[in-house]
Amino acid sequence: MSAVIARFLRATAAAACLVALLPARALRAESIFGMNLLGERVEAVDARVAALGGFVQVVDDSLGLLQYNPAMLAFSKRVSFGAAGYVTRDDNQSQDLERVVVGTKFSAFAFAFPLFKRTLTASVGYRGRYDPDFDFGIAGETSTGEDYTDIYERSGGTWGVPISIAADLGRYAKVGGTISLERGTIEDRWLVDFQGGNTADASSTQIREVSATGFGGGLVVRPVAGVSVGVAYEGEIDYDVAVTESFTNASADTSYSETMLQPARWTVSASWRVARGFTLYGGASMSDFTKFEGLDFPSDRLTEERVASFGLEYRIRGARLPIRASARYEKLPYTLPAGEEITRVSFALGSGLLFRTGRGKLDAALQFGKMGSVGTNTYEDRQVRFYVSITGSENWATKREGRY
Amino acid sequence: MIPLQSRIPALRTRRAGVFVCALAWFVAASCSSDPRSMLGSDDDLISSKPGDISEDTLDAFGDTVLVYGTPLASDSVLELGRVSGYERTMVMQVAFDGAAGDAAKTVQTAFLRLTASDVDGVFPARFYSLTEPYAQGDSIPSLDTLAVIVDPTSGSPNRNMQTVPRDYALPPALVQGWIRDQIARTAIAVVYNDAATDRIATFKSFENPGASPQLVVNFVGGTTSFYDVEDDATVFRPTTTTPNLVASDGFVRRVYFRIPLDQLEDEAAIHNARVRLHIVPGSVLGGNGNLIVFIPVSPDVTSEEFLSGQLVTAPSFQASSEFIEFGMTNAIALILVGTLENNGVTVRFDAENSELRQVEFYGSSAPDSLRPRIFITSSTPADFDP
Repeated sequence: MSAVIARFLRATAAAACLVALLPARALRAESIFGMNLLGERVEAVDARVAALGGFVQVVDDSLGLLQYNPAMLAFSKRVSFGAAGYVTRDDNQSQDLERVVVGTKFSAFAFAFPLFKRTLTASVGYRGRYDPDFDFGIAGETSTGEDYTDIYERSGGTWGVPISIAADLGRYAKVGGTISLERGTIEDRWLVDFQGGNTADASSTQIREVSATGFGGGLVVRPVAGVSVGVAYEGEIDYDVAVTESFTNASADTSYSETMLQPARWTVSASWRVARGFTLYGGASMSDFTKFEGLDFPSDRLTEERVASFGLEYRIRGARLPIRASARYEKLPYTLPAGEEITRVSFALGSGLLFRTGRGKLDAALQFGKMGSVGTNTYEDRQVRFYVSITGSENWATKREGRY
Repeated sequence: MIPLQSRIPALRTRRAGVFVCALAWFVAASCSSDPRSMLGSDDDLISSKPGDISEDTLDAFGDTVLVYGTPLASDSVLELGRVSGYERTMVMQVAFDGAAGDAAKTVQTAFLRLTASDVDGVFPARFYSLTEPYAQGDSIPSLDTLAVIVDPTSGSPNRNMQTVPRDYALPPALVQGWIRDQIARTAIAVVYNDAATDRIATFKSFENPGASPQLVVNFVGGTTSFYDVEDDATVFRPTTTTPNLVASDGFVRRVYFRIPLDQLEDEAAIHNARVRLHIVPGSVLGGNGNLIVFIPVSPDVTSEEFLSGQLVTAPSFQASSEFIEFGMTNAIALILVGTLENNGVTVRFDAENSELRQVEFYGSSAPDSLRPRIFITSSTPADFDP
C-alpha cells in the first residue's frame, strides 16, 4: 500500500475516534416510531453487513470487525479499526404528521488488535443501541380562546462500549465473547407553548440515565466447505436507571431510581458460497420483549421482536466492486395501542471498494425501508438510509486473506 | 429449481442475473402506496401525558385601605383650603436656632410671617399649636386641633389670611414659652375655617429662600429676632369616607388585598396571571396615574417589614379607564415554588408624597362583576407515569 493510502487510513482512524467521542444526543434520527419503547434500533454494523441484511448476518471478512457476532472478530489478524454510520431520511406518511426528516447517525466504531499470535484477537469500541428521538405538537385552545401547543420531545439514546475477545479455533470454528459497558440517556419533555405574548410557557422534563454491564458471546462454525453457520447470544441487560423529573414549578421536582430490563437476544445466521464470487446469506434474530421492564411502557403492548433477512453478494469475474443485495423483515418489539403489530420491511443494495493491498476497505449500502403501515397501523415511515463504513489495518507485512 | 452452482461461467452469470432481477421485482412490488389516514390516538401511543391546562378566576380577599397620612413636604408652596374632597392644612415647625441667647429676654410681640403665593381675597383660618413637633417627612395621620392659638390683637381664634399684610400675630406668652422651653416647641398648624366654601390658597414654603415662613419676635427693649421655619408641609385630609379601596398620594393611602392561591394546584405552572381592579367612575384625581404593585415582606400590616417587599409591576391607568389590569405571572409562580411568600399585594402610587392624586377601586363588597379578581391560566405537570 502506498504511503498516501496509509496516511489516509491513519487520518480516517483519527477522525473516527473523534466522532466516537461525540455525544450520541447530537445525532438525531426522527422516525415517528422513535417515541415508542427504546426507540429505533441502531444498525451497528459495517456497510457490507448492512447491504447483506444487517446485524443478523455473519460475513467472513478479515476487515469485518464491525459485526454483531463477536466470534467474527477472530477473522481480524491485524491491528485494525473500523467506523460506520448512516444518513437516514424518514418520511412520515400519516396525514396529521406529514414531514420529512433527515438525520445522521454514527453507529459503530471498533479498534481491534491481535492478542496472541494469530489465535486471539481483542477489540474495544462503541456501538449504538437504540435511538428514541422524536417530537410532535398537539394544538390546543383554552376556554378563553388562547392558542397553545403541547409539544412532546423525546431524545437521547442508549449505547455501549463493547470489549470483545475472539479465538480462532482453526478452520472450522471461531468463538468470541463480549463484556459491554452500557450507558444512555432517554429524555422525555412536554412543553406547553403559548402563542401570545405575556404568557409564560411551561415544561416538564424526565431524564433517565441508564447504566449497566452486558455480556454476550458467539460461535461460528464451518461444517462444510463454503458454508458458515453462526450463533450469537446477548444476555439480558439489567439497567440501573436514575430518573430525574423537573418542572417549571420546581416544587414538583423529583428524582428516584428504578431498573430497566432489556431482554436477551438470540441470533443465528448462515452463509453459503454458492460459487466463486457468489455467496448467499441468511439470518434471523429473536428477542422476547415481553420480558422487557421499565420506561413505564405498558406490558400489554410488548411482544417478541423477530428479524429475518436474506442477502447475496456477487462479484462478476473477480471484479473489485461486488454487488450486494438483501431483503429484511422485522417485527417490532411492541404493538400499537389497539394491538396492531408493526413490521418493517427493507431492501438494500450495496458495494464496496477493497484497497489493492487488502489493508483497507470502504463499503456503502443504500437501504429502502417501510415501517408500519398507514392502512393497518395509522403510522408509517418511509425510510431511505445510506450506510458507509471504512476499515483499515496496520499489519502491513501480512497479506490480505482472500475471503473478502 | 435452477442449480446455482455451475462450472460454466456464462450459465453462472445468467443465473445470478435472474436472481438479482427477482430481488428487484420484490423490492418494487413491496413499496406499495397505502392510503393515508388520520393520526391515531396520541393519548395511548406514548407513555406520558401533558399537563392539564385550566383557567381560574379567583376573588381577592382581605382587601383593605392602609392609611399612612404622610403629608406633602417637598412642594414649593403650602396649600390651605378645601377642594376635590380634600382639606388642606399647613403645618410648620420653627427652628429656634439661637433661641438660647434670647431666653433671658421678654417677648413683647410676635408674628408668624407667611408670604402668599396665591390668595384670592380674605381666607378664614385658625392657628393651632400641635402637641408634637413636626419634622420633614413625618406622618400626620390626624391633626389635634384642640389648642387653638388665639389672635392676641382681636382676642378671637378666627383669623383672616391675605396677601398683605404678611404678619399674623401670636400670643407673646406662647412664643416666650417656645423660646425658653425646648419641650414646648411644637408645630403650628394653619387650618381652613370655612365649612361652606370650597377654595384653596397657597403660601410660599421654606423651599423658597427669602420668602419662607418665619417667626418674628420683638423683645422688650427693642431687639428683634427672626426664627426660620425649618420643616413644613401641606396635610391633606379627605372630607368624605368611602367603602371603596383608595390609593392616594398627598394623603397617602395604599390598597392591600390577598389572593387565595390555595385554590390552585401546589405544583401548577403559571402561564398567565392578571389582576383586575375596577376603577370607581369619577374617583380619579391628579394627572399621574403611575402605580407600584409589590408583595410585602410581611403580611402584618402593622410591622415595619410590611412597608417593603418585592416589586411586581408598575402599571399605569387613565382617568377614563374602566379598570386597571396588571400581570402577576412571575410573582405567583415564585410564590408557588416558595421563593416568595404569599403575603398579599399592595398597590400604591409611585413617588409618594409628591402631589395630590387618588384612585378608587371597587372592593370585595361591591357587586360581583366589579370585585377585585385574579385571572390565572395554569397547567399541572406532565404525567410521565399515567
